[in-house]
Amino acid sequence: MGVRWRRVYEVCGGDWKKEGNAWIPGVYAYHISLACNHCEDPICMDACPNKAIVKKENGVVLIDYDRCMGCKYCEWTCPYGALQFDPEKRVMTKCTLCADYLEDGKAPSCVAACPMRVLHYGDLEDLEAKHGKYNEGFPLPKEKYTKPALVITPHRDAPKAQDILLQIANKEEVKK
Amino acid sequence: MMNGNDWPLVFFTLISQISVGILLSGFVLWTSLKNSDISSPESIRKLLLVAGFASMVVALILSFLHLANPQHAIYSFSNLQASWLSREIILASIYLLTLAICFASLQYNIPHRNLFGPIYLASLIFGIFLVWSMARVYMIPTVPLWNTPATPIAFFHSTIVLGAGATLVIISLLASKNPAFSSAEKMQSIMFYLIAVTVIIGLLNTFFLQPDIQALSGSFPIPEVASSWKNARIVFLLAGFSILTYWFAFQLQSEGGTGSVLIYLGTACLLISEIAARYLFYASYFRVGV
Repeated sequence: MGVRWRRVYEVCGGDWKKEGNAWIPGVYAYHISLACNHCEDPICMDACPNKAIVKKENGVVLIDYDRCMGCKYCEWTCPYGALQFDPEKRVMTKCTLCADYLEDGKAPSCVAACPMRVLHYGDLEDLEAKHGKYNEGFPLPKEKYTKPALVITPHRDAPKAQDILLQIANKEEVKK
Repeated sequence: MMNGNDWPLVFFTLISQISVGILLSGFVLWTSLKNSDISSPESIRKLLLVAGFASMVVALILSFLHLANPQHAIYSFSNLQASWLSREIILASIYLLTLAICFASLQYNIPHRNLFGPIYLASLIFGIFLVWSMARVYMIPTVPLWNTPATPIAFFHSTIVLGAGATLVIISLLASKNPAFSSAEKMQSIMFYLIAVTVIIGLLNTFFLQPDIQALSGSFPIPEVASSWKNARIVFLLAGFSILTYWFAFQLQSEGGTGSVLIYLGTACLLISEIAARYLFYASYFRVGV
């Protein structure tokens, strides 16, 4: 599927339960839209031997293509699948949070384009004050690994996901 | 995870570990024979050094095949304070350099022949740190199956088994061409014991100390690792060890068979076993998250 800096994961799970003569549905499905989370503690940046991954003063994590040797070690480490190898440029790439747009005072492309207006951007403290601090839940990893600059309003069934057998339903769309 | 791009890594790690293992075996040999009447010919020192150096050169060339942009490898020493990969690369470079100086001191008296011992020891220490850093590269917090003590144990196991195996083969080759090589039998015995102890520890690690994959993975899916590779690994390890044990017990002890074809066969089986084990290692990659 090639390079896709933002990918939407479809999670599904649950079961049916028989109550008397009726089958009660307990199935659910929800989506998580993921790109680079410009983590506070980027594991990719520590891993990169070339110091090709840098964190700017405004918190945006960027890749210096002129230093990347394409070893893909950063891809192994990122638990959000943010780092992707571009076979044409022959370097690792990832979401830049549209850093050039931000400098011009414009919103990142994905935020501007989302028809349902579910994506927001801004200072992490402001976003946490507005949306809370939840940033885990299947299929996301624990926060401790990278401290992602991410908050999500979870689907009501997302907390169940840790206990119930569930899976990513659209693997062919989100995995390389 | 395991795809065509990873094969250079399989052989880079294995061949560089063979290089360090050869040096380690040489150290064990000379330490064991130090206070005995048996002397080791200089030709074997040179041959072991050349084998260690050549295998490390091959390993480094293979590592470049993995890179999409090898011309940017010049920057790979930049992140020594945080990146184990950066540390691995600089240790590999220093190790290769010290090996070259070591050979120069023995062959050309540069900087001086008397410095051979200390430089050899320095090479070996850098080599051991290289294997350690190589293991740490894979001990990534977000890759739970690799982030366990089993990773360095497996890497040092490969280092000793394959290094001692390669040294055994080198001694056998020399002995078959030079009948006057009287210390060959004793040296081969030392190498056999080294392999035997390491294989037994490796088997104990395989059967009793492997991490609980299910517990480590939590709710995250585990990749299906090809069971045929796993079985092949065990079969070849046991076959190689059995063949060498047979050679040691029935040929070396009773007939002085220092140049036996069983040595080459047994060592080849051990090599195939380690290739299978390393393939399994890479194929077992999965990380937390997506």
